[in-house]
Amino acid sequence: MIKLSLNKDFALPMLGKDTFAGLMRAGLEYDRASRRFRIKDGADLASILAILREAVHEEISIELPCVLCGNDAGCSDCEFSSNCDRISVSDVCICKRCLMKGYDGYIEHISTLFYKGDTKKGTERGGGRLG
Amino acid sequence: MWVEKYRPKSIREMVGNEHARLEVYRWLTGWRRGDRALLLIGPPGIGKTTIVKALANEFGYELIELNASDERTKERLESTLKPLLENINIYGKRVLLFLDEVDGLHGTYDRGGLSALLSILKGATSIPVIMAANSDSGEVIKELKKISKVVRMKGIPPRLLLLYLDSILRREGMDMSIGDRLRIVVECKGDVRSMLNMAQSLVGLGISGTEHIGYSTPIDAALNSFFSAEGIDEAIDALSRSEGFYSDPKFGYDSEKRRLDKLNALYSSIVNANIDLDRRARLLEALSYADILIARMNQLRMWSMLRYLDRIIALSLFHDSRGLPYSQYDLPYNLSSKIFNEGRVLRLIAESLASRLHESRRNIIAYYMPYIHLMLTKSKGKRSSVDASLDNLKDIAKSLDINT
Repeated sequence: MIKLSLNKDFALPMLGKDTFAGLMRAGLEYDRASRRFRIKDGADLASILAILREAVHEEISIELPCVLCGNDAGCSDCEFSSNCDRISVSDVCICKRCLMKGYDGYIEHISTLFYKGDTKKGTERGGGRLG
Repeated sequence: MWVEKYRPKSIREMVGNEHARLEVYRWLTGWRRGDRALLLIGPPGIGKTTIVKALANEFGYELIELNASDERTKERLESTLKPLLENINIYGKRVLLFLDEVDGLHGTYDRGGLSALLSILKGATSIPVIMAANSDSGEVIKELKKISKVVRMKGIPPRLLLLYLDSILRREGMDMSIGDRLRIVVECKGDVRSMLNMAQSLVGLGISGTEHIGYSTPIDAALNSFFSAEGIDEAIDALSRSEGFYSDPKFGYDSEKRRLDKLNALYSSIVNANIDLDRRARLLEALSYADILIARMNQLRMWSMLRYLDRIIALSLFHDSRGLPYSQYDLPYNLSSKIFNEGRVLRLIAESLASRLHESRRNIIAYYMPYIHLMLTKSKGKRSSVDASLDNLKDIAKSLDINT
């Protein structure tokens, strides 16, 4: 199984020119220097998965990042994994550890993103995947 | 209703769609006169309207809202919006214009609405304009996308829904088992509005234990229980169980579509049942009132009325629907096969006539065919009857050299 993280670069095997072009059109980014891929914001995840499944003949799963800590949210071990269509839900979730901080912790973090100007600062402070 | 009671007052109090929220927030804070309108696209119940209301509240905008329940013809839009867009300071307050459900602009009822809207939005607007749509396809959206900044919103991930549900239950001082909470979160499929309505219904009914949650029975089992229920309470309970699970929905999976699927399932069961005509007529009439009621609730966004819906349907159908079996097909097989066969011939004829008469197939079927049918029936000296129709169609096809 290949896991695609929405907030991390990842490597893929050689897929051929047509598949590569299809993936780029669907919203994947390729960094020539590191030879790694990244999923752009607003990418067509359904198309990316369909193209990859056909190319590699393997199960592909999407790993959402945690909005609070920025790490993987742990989709494969999530209690909702079989009921969560990761293509049709918004592209950040919350990991089990951050879930303990509750709604107040979530709001507190989101507030820093909205009301303290540059959202990248939020990321640097150890917060989340936004910005 | 919890949906209204706990509607977030600020954009940060919402859950999910963090990128989209940030994008909308940045758009409004950086808005300058003449900027393009914003088009929010996403399924129902995920917070499109809430974002707009929260932003208006936070930034002190006077919100002017036009939704599907308002008349949105060319004349109405021009008379309402043009003065508004040209006289920014007339109210002495900043104004934010919100056009909800723009994908529902109707060709007949909202005559000229789209072109009027496009022409208004193409001009340099003096106030920020936000539009919202459930669907990402269709002619209206295609045109609006060309002149707007598009922000797409999606369903809310289950864990974030759980986080939100827990906070609401805590604020309400309510307790709910983890099994119930998980099931509600799973069954609302990313729709916050649905989740809160389900949770409130459950708490209101004072039911606990996952086996009693009325949202996970397949439609066939739920309707069979409804038709065989001995008392009205049992019938209401059975009907409310059909809300959440459709293995093969005709309309779709979101909560609004599922209500239509429920009505459709009741309709197909009634028309297929072996009952006398009067009884069938009474049942269909009751169902048609329910259909109108649902359409008005959706149109007027009266979500608080939804909790009465199952009771209303159950009470209006209860007496005449005892003992009916569930059926998923709209028509009995002998009728549907007949329609299928006739439809096939009809399409072939329409295709041939359309090319000869330079007309659309649709017009041929709608306007020409009844006359052709009548002429042929009369010329053969037969009475017009359903049984003769296929023969007539075959005659027409033969005269047009179509091989059926």
